[in-house]
Amino acid sequence: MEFAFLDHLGLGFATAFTIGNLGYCLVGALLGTLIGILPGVGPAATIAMLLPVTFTLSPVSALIMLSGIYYGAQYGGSTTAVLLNLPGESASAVTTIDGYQMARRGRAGPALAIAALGSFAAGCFATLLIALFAPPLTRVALMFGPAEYFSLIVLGLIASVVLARGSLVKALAMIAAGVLFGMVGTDIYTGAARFTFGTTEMREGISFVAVAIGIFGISEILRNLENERDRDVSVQPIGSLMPSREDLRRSAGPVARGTVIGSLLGILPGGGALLSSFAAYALEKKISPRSSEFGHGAIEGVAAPESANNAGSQTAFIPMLTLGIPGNSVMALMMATLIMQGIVPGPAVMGNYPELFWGVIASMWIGNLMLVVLNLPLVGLWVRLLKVPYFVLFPCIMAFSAIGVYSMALSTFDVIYISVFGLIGYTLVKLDCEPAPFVLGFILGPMLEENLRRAMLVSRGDFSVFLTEPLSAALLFLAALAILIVSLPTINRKRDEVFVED
Amino acid sequence: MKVNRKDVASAFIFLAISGFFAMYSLGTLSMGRPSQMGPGFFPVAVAAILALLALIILMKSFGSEDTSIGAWPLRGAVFILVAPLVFALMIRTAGLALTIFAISLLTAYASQRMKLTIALPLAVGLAVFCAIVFIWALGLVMPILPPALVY
Repeated sequence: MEFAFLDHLGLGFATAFTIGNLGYCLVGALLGTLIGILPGVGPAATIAMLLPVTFTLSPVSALIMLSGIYYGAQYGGSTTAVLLNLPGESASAVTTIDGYQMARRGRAGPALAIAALGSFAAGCFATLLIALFAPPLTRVALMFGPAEYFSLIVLGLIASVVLARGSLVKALAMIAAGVLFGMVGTDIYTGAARFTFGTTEMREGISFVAVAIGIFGISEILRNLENERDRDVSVQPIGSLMPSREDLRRSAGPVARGTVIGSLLGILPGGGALLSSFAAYALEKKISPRSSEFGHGAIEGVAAPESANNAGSQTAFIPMLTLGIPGNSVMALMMATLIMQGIVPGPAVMGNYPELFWGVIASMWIGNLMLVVLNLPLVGLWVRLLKVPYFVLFPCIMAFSAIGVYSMALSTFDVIYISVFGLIGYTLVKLDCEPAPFVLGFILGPMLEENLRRAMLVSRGDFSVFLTEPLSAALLFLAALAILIVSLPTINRKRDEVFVED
Repeated sequence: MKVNRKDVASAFIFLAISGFFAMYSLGTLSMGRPSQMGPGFFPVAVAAILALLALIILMKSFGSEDTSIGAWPLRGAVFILVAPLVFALMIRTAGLALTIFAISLLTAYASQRMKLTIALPLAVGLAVFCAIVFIWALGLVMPILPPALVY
């Protein structure tokens, strides 16, 4: 019965293969490569900046372009990691270890080729995986009532911080703070104005794009300004791109394992590209017969994390597209794009907008193909971009951000939020609080409240409904278990270790 | 005694946020009943959770190692954070081109290494680029030049 997925993919390719959508896919892949290569400009900030522009596009085209930026950044990030020993993208941090060592030995070409080919293989697999697993998940989600949805969101939020780095309590506090700020504006049930200080501007709520730009974009710029120095642009020579037969043979296993790890971790909330690459590297190092070569230019140490981060960046779409629950901040932005376009993300998307759902998935495969072509032969061109000094970049970022936020509602109030949340975001980042949970709380807060109120209405005010409904109870139990396990001192230490490059 | 000052500071920020939302809700919004929650119910509940988490952070901060907070790029922060405010003030009366020119100059000088020979062409270039891309190509409804001058 699952052969229906071929029809679905057919519809998807028909949608993605229009001239316009191919164009947006290419633009997304190009932009993604660009910001992936440039250190200090991340996909979350870029997508937030471009989100207002996509307002003029159709929902499919908007999502195709923005997702291209996300997985494109994974390709670009590896280039900087290998040639410059700098993570162009946080998810490529672990690639610098062996990638740069390979480059110093004159083997930058094969490292880049394996990174791109591994990413491509992972991308193809992840695309198939989404096509196979999304429909059954959607069917389950369609049976959810408000109580189940409330518990699912709680689980999603908690799981997203359990797998992230840093202090658990602080991350939970960031979620709660995000939820609170997400409630500013008119209460949809009663029409009461909440936290608006009596102004009409604030009744619309706080612009999510302004929050995301402030929290990711502005604090990224300020962090880069902390320590201004010349970027070391002594790029390693690339040499021949062709990997040897030996390289290919040694990479096959790591690519396959990296793809599987990345795909699995990508689906989990809080997973996505970053965690996937770290976990894949750690695993290869543990099981490889050549583990002593790791850190000295082992090709496995490039193949595994680069495949994993690409797979993870794609399967992260599964919970967002099927359940309407974003697992990381980039997915939160994708969700905001859909909401802006008038589409409520959730299980209904696949049935109501099949061309959107399958078109985006098919575009990922096309985009991955484009990226291999863009990245391998043109790598010399991209590397020249690294010579652009950072102080030229951030005035551009500021200008685009301000115009983008203003253009959404022509509200000067929204532009001011950029400063407010830039200051809040940067201060909290300085205090070791991760910004992503705040953004997830902000976008999921209203859904959390709505489902809580609906569930309580149905149960006539009986709070025990969350525990007597078996599915809801199971979800809450999982959430509690996740917190419990991570709070155990031994696990907690292990969790820190995963993110420490040794 | 060892105290992690970062944790203390973040705990107080969270307490302040929690306090604001709780007080505002309790002061102006109705709580309702569990079966018919008012607009104030959920904010107060979340604010209470946040306060609890803040207290845990505060407790854990005592006895844990203090870590350096690093440099504060004061000059950069002021220039960058003022730029959106300038944009908000200028855009309606000065039009897009002048506004972008102004905030680009402003943000460029957030970097200590900026020179006028870079900043000026950058600001002019960005103003022209944004006018072309956002108004002509993407069709956003904004004046390019000061409306008062044009009419």
